[in-house]
Amino acid sequence: MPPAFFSVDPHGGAPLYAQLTEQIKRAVAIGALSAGERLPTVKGLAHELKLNPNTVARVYRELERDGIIATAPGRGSFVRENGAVGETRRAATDVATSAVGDAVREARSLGVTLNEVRAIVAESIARWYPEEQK
Amino acid sequence: MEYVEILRARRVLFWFGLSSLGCLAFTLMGIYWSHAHVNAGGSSFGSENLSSLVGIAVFGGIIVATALAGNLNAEHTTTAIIWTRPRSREAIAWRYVAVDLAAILAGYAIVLAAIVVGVIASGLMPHFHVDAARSLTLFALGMGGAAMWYGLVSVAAARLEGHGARVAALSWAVFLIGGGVIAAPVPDLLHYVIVALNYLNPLAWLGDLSSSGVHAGGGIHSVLHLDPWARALGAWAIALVAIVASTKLWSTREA
Amino acid sequence: MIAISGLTKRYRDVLAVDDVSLEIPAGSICGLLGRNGAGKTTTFKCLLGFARADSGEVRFDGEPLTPQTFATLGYVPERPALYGWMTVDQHLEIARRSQPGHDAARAKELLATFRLDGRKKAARLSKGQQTALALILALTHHPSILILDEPASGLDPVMQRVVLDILIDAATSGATILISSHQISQIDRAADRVAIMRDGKIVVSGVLDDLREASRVVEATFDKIIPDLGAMEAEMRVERAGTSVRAHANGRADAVAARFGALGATGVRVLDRSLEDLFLDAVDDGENR
Repeated sequence: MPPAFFSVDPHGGAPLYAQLTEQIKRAVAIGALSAGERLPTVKGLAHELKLNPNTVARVYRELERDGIIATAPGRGSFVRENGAVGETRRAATDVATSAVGDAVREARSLGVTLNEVRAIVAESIARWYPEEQK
Repeated sequence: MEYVEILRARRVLFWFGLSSLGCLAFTLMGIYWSHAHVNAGGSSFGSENLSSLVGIAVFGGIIVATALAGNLNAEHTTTAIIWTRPRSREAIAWRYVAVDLAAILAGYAIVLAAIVVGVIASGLMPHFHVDAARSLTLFALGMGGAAMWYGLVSVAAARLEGHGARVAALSWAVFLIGGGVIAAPVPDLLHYVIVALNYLNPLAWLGDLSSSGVHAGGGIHSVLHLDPWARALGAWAIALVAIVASTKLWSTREA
Repeated sequence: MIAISGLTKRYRDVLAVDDVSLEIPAGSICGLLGRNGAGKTTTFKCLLGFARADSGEVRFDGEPLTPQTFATLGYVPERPALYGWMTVDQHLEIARRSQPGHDAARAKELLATFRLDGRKKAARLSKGQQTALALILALTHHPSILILDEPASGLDPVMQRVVLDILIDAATSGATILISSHQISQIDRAADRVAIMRDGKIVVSGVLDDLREASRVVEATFDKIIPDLGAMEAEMRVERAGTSVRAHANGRADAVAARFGALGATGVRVLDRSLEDLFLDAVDDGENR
């Protein structure tokens, strides 16, 4: 059984390796993939996602470069133990930054004013960080 | 790869053998029903050389030859299979030729066997004597003629994709009529052309197939006044040239 | 690996294949796309030696084509080439007798996968089953090079998935795969490279994700007038329509989006391009716009 569900959408347009990289980072960030956990093999994931193995290999290379995973020859790829917390935090921040950035850019495109955006963000924070409000 | 051709040859020989058997049975039935006729005809037979039958049996070889000669050509629809084997195209073509020649020999043998069985079963054997040397000569000539026919049809069909069967069928008409018009009253020049073309007619090389005037091809007179061994050699030489040319044309064509 | 350089094939006065160069590394699946008559099938015929190229060079794993190449090459033609009067098993017998690397167990497994009855004559198979048989014949000797011309035609969606699985597994084991298809949605997952042909020429080729990345377009909308875009105009293609600007960001979409933001754009959108978009862009001759 895979440690998490991944899926890529070739019609979404964004490069497939970017889509998958982001999803794995997200899985690490939310803890669906925990430190030390083994990732599927390139072959296995390619087979499962019907995705070219070179594309999957590229994803693993990027994740390794970013320090999210480590690959031991013959044993496969693992979510890194060493500094995994820091990397995980960074991965989480990466995902969040990109999501919030997209949302704010979209708001501006739609002609939403700065004050309105501030109000929306404040409202979202109030809803999702209720403990911070006290 | 010749496996496909083996299957094809097997199929042709099966149907050919079956119809030969049918013809034999039909003939024998006819002979038994009109027993008196055989006895009456028997006296007019005199003593016949059995080797004339060896000559006539060549038609078995020719029928099989024309049935198989278009097969290499027919492979144009299966290029993706036959040209993607780790073997040179010439080698593939020659294996086909080897299978076909063996099948032609078998076709020859089937008719010869049917004739001999027919002769023995109808009690005409006492009227025949066997001349081994002449039989061998006629056999070599007969196979040469059949191989020549096979080679000429192959080379004519080599670049006519998908028309191998038509070329084979047409060859019967061309060779039979071509031999006949030799005697036609035509202007001298045309006559020489026809005579020249007849050197490519297997029936002309087969010519007189028996010692007693049984003519191949329904009365075609040979234009070649050579002895049978020389004609056998000539027919085989033309066959070889034609087959080499057809394998070359086939293996260098574009698909 | 397949390396094609300067391949050219002329039929009378038509250049069917015009100076085609393409390099596909081992483990790669390259999708060859193009409209009908763009020269894909002729390219394949030249690769396989069915047609003689007028010029150019082709190498498979570094070696030029010889009969021996076919011991490690599998080919699926555009239309299944089968002997209608022969059974499925007899077709496999051809492979068994002529391919030194024929794997009977693999053949049996593939027959089961595609649910083919070995005793059935090829002429009695459905179109999809004929395609399946042609695929099986190309696969039983574990080829390291696979050339497939429309290999999914007539297959139902489930079987198309199976074919994709087979190709992906083959690529994972290091095979080099060149595949042409009209079904772009099949290719855009499995292929990591594409080459798009038009009028015998390759007009676009490369790593698919890079092409997707490079083709992203950033659209910015300004309030009243479009300000001076400065260096941007020199760096990339920029189109204007009213108060909107489209910049072909050449792989730096995020940076370009930020620059538009700094220029005071009121709206910025990054438009992703799918393979289908790339394909239509490449083969469009202006008639259908």
